[in-house]
Amino acid sequence: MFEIRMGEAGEIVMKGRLDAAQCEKALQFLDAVPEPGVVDLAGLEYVSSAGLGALLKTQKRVMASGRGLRLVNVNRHIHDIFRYAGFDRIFEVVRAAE
Amino acid sequence: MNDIQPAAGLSSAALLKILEVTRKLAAPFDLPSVLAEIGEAAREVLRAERATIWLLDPQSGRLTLTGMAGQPRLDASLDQGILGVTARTLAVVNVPDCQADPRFDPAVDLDYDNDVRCMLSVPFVEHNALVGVLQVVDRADGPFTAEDERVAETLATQCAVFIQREHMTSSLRMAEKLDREIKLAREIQMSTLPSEMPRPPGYDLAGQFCPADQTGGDTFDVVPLDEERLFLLLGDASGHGIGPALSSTQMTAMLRVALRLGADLNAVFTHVNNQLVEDLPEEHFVTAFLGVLDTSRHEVRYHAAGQGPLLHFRAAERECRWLDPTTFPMGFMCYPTLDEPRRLELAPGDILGLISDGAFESENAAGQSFGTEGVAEIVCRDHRLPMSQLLAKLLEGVHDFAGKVAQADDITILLIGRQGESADAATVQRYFKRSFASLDAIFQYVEDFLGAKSIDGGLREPVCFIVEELFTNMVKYNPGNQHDIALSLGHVDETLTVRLIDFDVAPFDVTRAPPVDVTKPLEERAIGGLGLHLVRQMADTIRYEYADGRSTITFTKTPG
Repeated sequence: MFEIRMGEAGEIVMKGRLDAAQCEKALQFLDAVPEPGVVDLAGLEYVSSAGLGALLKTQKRVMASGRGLRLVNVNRHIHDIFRYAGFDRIFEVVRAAE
Repeated sequence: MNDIQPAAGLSSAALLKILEVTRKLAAPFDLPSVLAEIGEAAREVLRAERATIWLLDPQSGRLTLTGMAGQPRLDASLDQGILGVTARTLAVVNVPDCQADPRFDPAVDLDYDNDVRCMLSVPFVEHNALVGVLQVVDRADGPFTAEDERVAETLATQCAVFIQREHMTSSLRMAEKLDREIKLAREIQMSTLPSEMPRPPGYDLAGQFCPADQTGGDTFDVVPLDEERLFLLLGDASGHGIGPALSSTQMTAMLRVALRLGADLNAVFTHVNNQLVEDLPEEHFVTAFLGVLDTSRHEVRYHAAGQGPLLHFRAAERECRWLDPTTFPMGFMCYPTLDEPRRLELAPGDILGLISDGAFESENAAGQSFGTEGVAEIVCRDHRLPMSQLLAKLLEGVHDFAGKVAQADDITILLIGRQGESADAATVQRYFKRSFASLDAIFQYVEDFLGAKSIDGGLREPVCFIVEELFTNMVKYNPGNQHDIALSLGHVDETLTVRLIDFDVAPFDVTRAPPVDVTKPLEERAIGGLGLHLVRQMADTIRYEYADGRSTITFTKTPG
């Protein structure tokens, strides 16, 4: 299952598995947030390239207004994928404490 | 329609009589009463003692005396008596003195008391073919005259048309009745076939009955007995028409009752066989496969009564083995003793194919038959397909082979495929619907396999990632394709080997997709296209193969 919502401190919280089937849901939510900043991925177990596409699209929108997404609490596996995808160069990525 | 041709010299009395008969012929009378009417009219117009009518029986080629209801049927060959001469020459024969004419035969010209004096014998001819003969005897005022001949001929012409029409409508009516009965029998037969296949875990079943134009005697059935066992039936009653259709329908019904009563395979076989011996006409029999599939032991116990060859596709050898019937057809004779059922083990990927002879014996224009070779070729090529698709391929194969030659016999196929689900197997395989909605089931499948093999959890995410990328690509690029996608997982020497097979597609080599420069700044990064790049990064090895319209992608991954 995949879940996306606003956290208490105004951060975006993603949980579960962000696969191709869930990507539309994520994108719709992200598009509706006017000024997204921090994205807490502590509960995100899995992300597919479709999920990466959703993050990339949002980052392009946010960067246009001079800010940027901060991806925090990223687990080891997802961090590997971010690294393979070059996301560490275009997002601020903070790994979860091991 | 049947206007009377005016004949020169006919008396007005005779004409009137003939007209009267003709009018009657137009009314929808049954043939016997019309014939009686014709005879009576002829007798009256020609002032004769007696008139008899013979009709040609097209089947036997003999003439049959009409108007003799309640008496033994009298018939004659075309070479007897004046009757025969008339029939052979299709001409009027006027005999002034019967007793002096050597052609006269009292037996067929009906002179039991040797006192017939004169005779006029007239053929009924329609389209230059004999329909019947009218014989009038003993004219009141001496031998029959030339005018009598013309009167009789005119009458005969009208009668021939009527008789022929009557023959045609009655055979049409017969055909219609038969047609309705065949349709009814067909409906009954079809209604006994399973409408939906059971889906026991680890097995994939498909069955189909393709009737020929005429009703044949094929049937099949699949009945769940309990959680783990399925009863399997394929039957073919001998002959064509309503009888065999009902025989096979009756057998299916008996089997279902017996099984519901909890009888074991041997008891079922014996009882149903004995009942068929009693019920079936002597020359009829039913070839049948009766088996029980045990999905926990992966074995089929069966009797194949004259039903064969049975197909056993062995996945490990990738070859078709053909099994002979175990005993003679059902309905022949009662068995004093019956051997224990034969046992067949199904290994992962194996297929048991029950195929009626209509498929093997299907012929092409050159008179060659499809045979076991035709079946084996398709099964060896397409055994990885879901059974319903393999079945479609087999029917397509038979159809293509036969070309324009019409299907002569029912074709029935029941396929039982064991999937690679067993935990002890090195490789497992399953089919998934071509939809993003399959992803959850795919992840579960991968997870279960890794769990069963106690493979380190670190493999789960990357393997799911790669499988998802490859699978969703297949979904995206061939959305209209009806084929499911096969996913197989193998684990040998610490290495996980994963294979995806996409059927009926154009080649697309994922290993040659253009690389993505991930060092580019955001403005230059495309949103898509990352998937295959990441797959190549994450897999230890990846290989692409294309053959027979199918893309196969194989990748390996080792923990750590």
